Amino acid sequence: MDGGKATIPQLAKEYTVATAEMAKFGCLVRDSELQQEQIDKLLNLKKRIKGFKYGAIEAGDEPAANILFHIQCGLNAHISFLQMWILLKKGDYYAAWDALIDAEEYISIAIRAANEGVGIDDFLNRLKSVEDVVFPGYRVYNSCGFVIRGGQCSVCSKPFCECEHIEGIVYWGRLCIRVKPEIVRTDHIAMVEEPRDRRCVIMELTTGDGWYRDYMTWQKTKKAEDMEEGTLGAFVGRILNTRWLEID
Amino acid sequence: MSADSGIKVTAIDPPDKDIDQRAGSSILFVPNDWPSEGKDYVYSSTVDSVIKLLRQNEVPVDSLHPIDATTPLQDNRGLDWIAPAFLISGSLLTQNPTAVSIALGVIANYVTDIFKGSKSEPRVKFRIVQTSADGKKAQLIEYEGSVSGVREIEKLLLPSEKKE
Repeated sequence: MDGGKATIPQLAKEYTVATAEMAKFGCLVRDSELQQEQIDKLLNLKKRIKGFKYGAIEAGDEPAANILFHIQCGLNAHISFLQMWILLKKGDYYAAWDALIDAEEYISIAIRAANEGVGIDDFLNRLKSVEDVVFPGYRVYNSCGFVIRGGQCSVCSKPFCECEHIEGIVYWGRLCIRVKPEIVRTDHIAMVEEPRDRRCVIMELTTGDGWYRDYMTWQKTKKAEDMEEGTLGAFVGRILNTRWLEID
Repeated sequence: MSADSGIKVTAIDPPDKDIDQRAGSSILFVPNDWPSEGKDYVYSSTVDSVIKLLRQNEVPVDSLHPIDATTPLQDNRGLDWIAPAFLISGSLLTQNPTAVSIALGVIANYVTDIFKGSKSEPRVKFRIVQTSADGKKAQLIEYEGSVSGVREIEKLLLPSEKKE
C-alpha cells in the first residue's frame, strides 16, 4: 500500500488485519520473541497511523483525526496486551498488571474518540476475562486526594482554565486532560473499591504469621518487624502513578 | 434511581442576599463546603470543565470566586465523579426555568461519555444549595449515586414563582 496516501477505510482494514494477526499471539504460551515481533509490527503501523492523523489535523479534518486516534488507541491497547504476556513470563507481575490496565484504559479512550471500532467490545471482554483468571483480584486500591492549582490543557497547552477544551473529551485526535498542575498539598490517602487509577495496588501485606507477603506471588518478602502493637496489619502499596498514557 | 443512590435534603440558613442576587441570572459555582465558613476555600477540580461545558451549551454560569490558575482545586483519585458545588437561586428558576434542567442533563451526558468503556459504572456526587424565590429559605441537596439518577435532583427543587 502507498505509504503516503490511504483512505480511512483502508487504514481501518490494515488495523483489523494487524490485530487479527496479533490475536494469535495474545496468550501465555506463545513464544516471547514472536510476541515481541508482533509488538514491533503494531508499533510500525501505529507510527503510520499517527502520520496520517497529523496529516488530517493539518488538513483541518477533525473527525478523521479522531477516527485515526481511535485506531491509534486500539493499537496501543493491543501492544499493551502483548507486553503484559511477555512481562508475566519474565515474572514482572506488577508491570504486567500495569500493562493490562493500560490496555483497558486505551480502549476506554478509543471508545471516546470514535464509535466506529469493530471488535472493541470483544477485546474489552477478553481483557476483563484475563484480569479475572491471571491476577489474584483486588478488592481495594489506594487512592489519594490532592489540592491542586492551575495546569495546562493537553490539547492546546494553554492554561487549563483559559481554553475551551473539556477534560476527558477527544479533540483533533488528542485527549484533553489537565497536565502539569501544581500540587499544593496531599489532602488524604484512602483505600477504595473503585479508584480512578487501578495501578495503585497493594504490593505487600502482613498475613498474621509475622511476615510480609508479596500480593501477587504470595511469597514471604520480609519480617514484619515494623508492626506496632495493636496494629491489625500493614501493607506496602502504590499511592500515585505519574506515568501518562499516549494521549496525543 | 438505582438502589444504591441517595439524595439528602437539609434546610439551611439562606446565604447573604448579595450572593443570592449574584445567582439571580446564572448558576453560581461555589467552593465545595460552601456556605460553611472556612478560612480556605477549595473548588472541585471538575469546576473549570463544567463551566466550559455549560457555557458551550448556553447555560448561564458564574462563580463566587474567579476560577483561574490560582484557584485551589480538590482532585480526588477515586472513580466517583465529583461535581462542583453550585447555588441555584429562586430568581434564576423564575427567570430561566429550564436552565437547571438543561445543566443537569448536559452534565449527566458528559459524565456518561467520559466513563465509556470503564470497568464500573461511574458514581457521581452533587452538592447543590437552592434558595426560595423570596430568598428567605434555602436547602442543601446532596446526591450520591448513579449518573442515571441525577435527573431526580430536579424533583426536589423548591417551587419557583410564576413569571408575570
